Amino acid sequence: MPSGNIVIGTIGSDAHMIGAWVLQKALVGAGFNVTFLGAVVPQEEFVHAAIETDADAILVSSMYGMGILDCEGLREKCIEAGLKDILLYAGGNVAAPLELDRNWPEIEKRFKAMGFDRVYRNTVTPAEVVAALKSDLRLEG
Amino acid sequence: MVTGKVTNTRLSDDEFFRIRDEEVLPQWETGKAIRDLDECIAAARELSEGKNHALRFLEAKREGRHILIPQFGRALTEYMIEGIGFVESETAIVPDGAWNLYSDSYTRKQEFAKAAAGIERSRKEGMSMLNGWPIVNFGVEEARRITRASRLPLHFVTCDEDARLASEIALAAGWTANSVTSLQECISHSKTITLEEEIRLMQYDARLAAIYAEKGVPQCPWNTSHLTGYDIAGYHCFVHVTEAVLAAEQGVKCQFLSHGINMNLLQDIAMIRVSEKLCYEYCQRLGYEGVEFIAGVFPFLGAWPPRDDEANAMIAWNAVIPVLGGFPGMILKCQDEAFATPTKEGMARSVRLAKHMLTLMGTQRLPDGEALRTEEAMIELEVRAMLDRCLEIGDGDMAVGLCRGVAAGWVDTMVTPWKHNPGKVLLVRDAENALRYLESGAVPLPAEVREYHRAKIAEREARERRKAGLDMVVQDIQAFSTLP
Repeated sequence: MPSGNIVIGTIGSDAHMIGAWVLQKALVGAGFNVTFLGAVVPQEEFVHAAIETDADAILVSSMYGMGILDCEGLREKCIEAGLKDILLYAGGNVAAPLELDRNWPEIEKRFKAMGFDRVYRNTVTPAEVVAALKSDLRLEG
Repeated sequence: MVTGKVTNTRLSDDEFFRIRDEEVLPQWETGKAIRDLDECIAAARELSEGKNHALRFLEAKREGRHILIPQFGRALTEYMIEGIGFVESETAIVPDGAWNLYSDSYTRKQEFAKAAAGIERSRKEGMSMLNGWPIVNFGVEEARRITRASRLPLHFVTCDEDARLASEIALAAGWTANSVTSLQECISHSKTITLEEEIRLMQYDARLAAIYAEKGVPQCPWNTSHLTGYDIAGYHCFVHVTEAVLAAEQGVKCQFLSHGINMNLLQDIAMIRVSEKLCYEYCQRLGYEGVEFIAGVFPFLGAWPPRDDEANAMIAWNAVIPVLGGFPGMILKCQDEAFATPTKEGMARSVRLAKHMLTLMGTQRLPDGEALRTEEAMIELEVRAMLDRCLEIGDGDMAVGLCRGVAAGWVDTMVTPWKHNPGKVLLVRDAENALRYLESGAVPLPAEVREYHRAKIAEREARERRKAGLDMVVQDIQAFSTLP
């Protein structure tokens, strides 16, 4: 049974918090139990919070362009911590070199290869994320 | 980390050089190359000849001209030189321009080993995998290559908490502006550092700039209020004035005021006028003579629209505000803003767009009028109330008062990563898109100001036939980045 618990925050050395802040408000509104870690969150803190709250999903925001470097290894850390099946989403300006951003399929490919279930651009709406979570977790509604 | 009492007191030479040798230069191996400060200053004097930030900005202010300031930061020195050269040769930015050059966010957090890995990764992938230029890893000689490649004054955008080694390298390379930012850096980029500690770190940056200036290389450090990207006008002014006083105590004689704006013509102009006026006034009142301030406009720091057309509207509107306000500094963002750090092509397009706005607008200024006067008066009342409370509870010491104000919970803004911010305030836009307090927490707002904000919000409520609440707050945060 999914717990409906979600961990969300901005990863790495990134101080941009507003994207994750807006999304956590929407997730609470949609009935999820949300642990909001704020900004500048190391991978380990995401994993610890997920263990402590028995989370179904970790939502990683990255707005400053170094998302690829910051997200590498997160899936492995989850597996080591016994969270093999936890959902991992990333969203924001996840890869700032414009050469990459203009090549979205390449970004998706890289994040999938890193073990992420979904990756979103910063134009994603909270409603889309809520719908995706409900679908992936097979929750009603 | 040394944390404890900090006061607004100038660092003595003994103290400055003790910190330099014990805390700053050993942070990374590139600190060794700048051990001899006099040698650094002599090199900086020569390298900055003809492109000094302070001199160029003071001249622009005297003559009523505008300086365009594009921004750039890439993982490798070659990319930096290529990008700077591209913009300077493809646009008419020389001579009325300056550069805002930033480091990557690992450097900003002193994660130099991670920055080193990012440099290697960028070489391997053939593109910039870092979101800025890792100045500390590359060191002073590489920074000097960048200085030589540009015909414009260079400003080094501060690091998050501790910018001291990066500042040392930038100034030794002939860049003529670092940053003096205490509360600003806590609010914008920090999570746990105390304000006491941040002020202590900033005092070093300010003293460093002052030493360069005293030894013949004028400096114009940036005193910024970029904050969360969504802050009330009075809070911006408060941050500028407190910082102005702290930097002035360290001997800084010229400061560039980089105001993050909310993209409301009238309120932004009122904010910057009040800020500049009170920077002069409080510095003078507290005994700092002859400090000069140059006002500037930093584009909206909230989320940008993900399409060129809407982004161009943002860039053009961002140019209108400094022209109509008569502010010399015009920092530029570009069409890439929603997706990525600026490309050289994006920056060049933005320079052309802004330059043409200058041509179109000429020397027009916003005419005086009741609405502008009221807005200025309300902001001024709010800021004076905060500043005077600060000096009162700090027994005349701005650093002490500021720290006590944060601890007491009345220095407050919304949605910052900084855990020491109370976060009790909520802001919404009014019917004319100016920012107002929906909730003002413990901010010591004079009753008149509180009423004014309430009345302005009520106008929007009546117009939209709905009550202002959290939904409206969240919607407003996303308003400029949402495509129709």
